Amino acid sequence: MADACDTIVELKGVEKTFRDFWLRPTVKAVDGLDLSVRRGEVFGLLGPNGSGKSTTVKMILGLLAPSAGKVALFGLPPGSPSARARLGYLPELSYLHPFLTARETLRYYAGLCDLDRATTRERIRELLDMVGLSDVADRPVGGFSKGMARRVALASSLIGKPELLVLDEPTSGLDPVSTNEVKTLVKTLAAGGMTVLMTSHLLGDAEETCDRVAILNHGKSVAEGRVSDLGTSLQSFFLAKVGEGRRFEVAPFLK
Amino acid sequence: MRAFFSVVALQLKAAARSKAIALLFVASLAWMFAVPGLVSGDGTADGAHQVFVRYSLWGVFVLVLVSLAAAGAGSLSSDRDARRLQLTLVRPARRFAVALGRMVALVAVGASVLAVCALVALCRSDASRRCWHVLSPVMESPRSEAERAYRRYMESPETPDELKKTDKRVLVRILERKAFDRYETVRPGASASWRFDTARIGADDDIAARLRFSSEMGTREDFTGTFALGARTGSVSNITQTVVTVPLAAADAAVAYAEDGLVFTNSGRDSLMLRPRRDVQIVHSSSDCTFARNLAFALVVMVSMLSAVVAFSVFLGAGLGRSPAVFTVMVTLFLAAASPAVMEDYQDEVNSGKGDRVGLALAQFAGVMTRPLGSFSPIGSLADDECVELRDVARAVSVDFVLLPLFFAFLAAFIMPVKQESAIAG
Ligand SMILES: Nc1ncnc2c1ncn2[C@@H]1O[C@H](COP(=O)(O)OP(=O)(O)OP(=O)(O)O)[C@@H](O)[C@H]1O
Ligand SMILES: [Mg+2]
Repeated sequence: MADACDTIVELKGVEKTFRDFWLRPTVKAVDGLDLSVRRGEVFGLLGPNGSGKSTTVKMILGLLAPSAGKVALFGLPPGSPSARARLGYLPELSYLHPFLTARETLRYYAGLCDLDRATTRERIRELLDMVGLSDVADRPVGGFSKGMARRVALASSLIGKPELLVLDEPTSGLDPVSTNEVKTLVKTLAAGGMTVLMTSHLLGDAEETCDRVAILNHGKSVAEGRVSDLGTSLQSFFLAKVGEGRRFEVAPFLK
Repeated sequence: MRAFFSVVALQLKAAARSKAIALLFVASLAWMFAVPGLVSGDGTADGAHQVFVRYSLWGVFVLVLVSLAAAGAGSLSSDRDARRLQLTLVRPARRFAVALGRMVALVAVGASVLAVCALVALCRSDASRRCWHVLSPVMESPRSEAERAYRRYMESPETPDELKKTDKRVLVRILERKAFDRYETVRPGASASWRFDTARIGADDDIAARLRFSSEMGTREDFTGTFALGARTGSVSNITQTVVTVPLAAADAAVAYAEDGLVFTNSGRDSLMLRPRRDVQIVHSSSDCTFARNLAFALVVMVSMLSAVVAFSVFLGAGLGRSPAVFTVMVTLFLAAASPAVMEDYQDEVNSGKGDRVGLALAQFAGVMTRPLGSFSPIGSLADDECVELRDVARAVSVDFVLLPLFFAFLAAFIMPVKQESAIAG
């Protein structure tokens, strides 16, 4: 059993209800979720579209406040400055400042992490090399393709050498080669002691990279465990858990 | 600290690369050079200088204020609207530093535009041109004069009952304004005198009497006469300027301050009407009160006012979306600019309707809330060759430049994360 300080992320009975302007509830995006991510593991948060993965991630990051339940990050309340200092985050879409170059983007986030000049320069060089953007480092990211922008965002999530890396659909928008690179990267980082929490609905990717997964459906966890303990492929397990009765009804449209 | 500078750099790049800075510089400089051709003075060199300084700097200041208020309101809000702000919020940087960095960068942009325009104004004017410290007559305060008049009204049997029943505060407020604006008539051949606190005048200062005809009634009085302050005298004849400065030359400096009354003797053919509290001044100046120094002081005050506005708008952007933030800050600026005029126009609270009184109350409220911005006084003083006094500079710097930005940055930091809730998924 891992002891308490090895639990990096802990969710207990977490709920999130979004409300409209008049505070009337609109969606219950997360519904009684228990979860824990341990040091050094790659944890996959899987689930179909709209199942509450990104919402869960944002509560862990302290960007959203849970409606009920408790979230702890390194044993601290999420959003506290010391928790934020140990965190890297790659959002679902890259959300870059279009007028900055790749290098300036990394420099900006390095500044926010309070890195000194020499470290910043060194890390920017390493990271640009790592994501293969050294040649275009001085072009504004507004002109980057989706995949290139993704790499910039990924690099900037790593700029502070985080203990916990939170990746929301890291491979979306990447070609198969880059997808593979990202998977390798995640495995390398984990081997180096970094804890990774990633969401995905690409089961193949998750199967290869994650040590443990939780499957969300309608904001509830429908299964949780080690990938190696599933006994079946993640694909069929997933479809069995959440896929029943879900099929696009094409016939009426074709009539 | 590094986070702060990163945010400053980010905001500067945003401003520069959107071409906003270039546009602002071009527009401001174009205005500086266009003004002399667009507005003409009264034909004198002094008049041309006054008009140039007033309208060129006033135009640039309004332009800078409005554009940077809009930029400030859009800076954090547009980042959130584009969902970029979350990437800053998950970093360990203090949110206070994030808000303050935005403010400082925008103020730096505005300050540099204002500084360049001030430099243009300096080059086009005489840098050593004299500026004056202004003294107003020492008189009973308008307030106590109003109280006295009120008592007289209430005791008089001729006062209509209806008026006697009116709220005392309203009446006194009206009477106070009337007292402030009270006219005094100097008939041909007669004299009038006003007392001044001459102790403030330095021994070697140049002294002049000054009349400002800013009223609606006699914008340009044609008058002739003599001023005397102790042994100093100066005469004036057939002048039709709005601001008349009459140097008081001393026959014998030793007796100059024996008396502190300024006496005016009307030797013209017409009566002269003036409002002593507004129109009559003694101005004095030592050799270090130059236009260059005054311009520098006015610049500091303008930059301070700009800081307060930018800080407020960045704060709004931290809590609202881009459009509502920009709208709110524009409405605030408009209220600040309009409320003094509204209060001036609605002098008669007793006879005005309910709606008008509500409007007046709102204008008064807006006027109080935005008092530091309600008048573009540094530019007015500069144009009129009046010294922007050190105490005004100190007040502007400490309140508008330091306190308000810190206060708004603190508030902005507080509300910045709250708004995430309503941002759309993603
Ligand atoms: N800010 C918000 N306001 C209102 N509803 C929201 C908000 N964010 C998410 N939701 C709703 O919460 C539910 C879960 O959304 P979430 O983004 O967490 O799903 P997801 O699992 O990340 O899906 P995807 O795989 O498509 O990214 C959805 O029904 C979504 O409409
Ligand atoms: Mg998502």
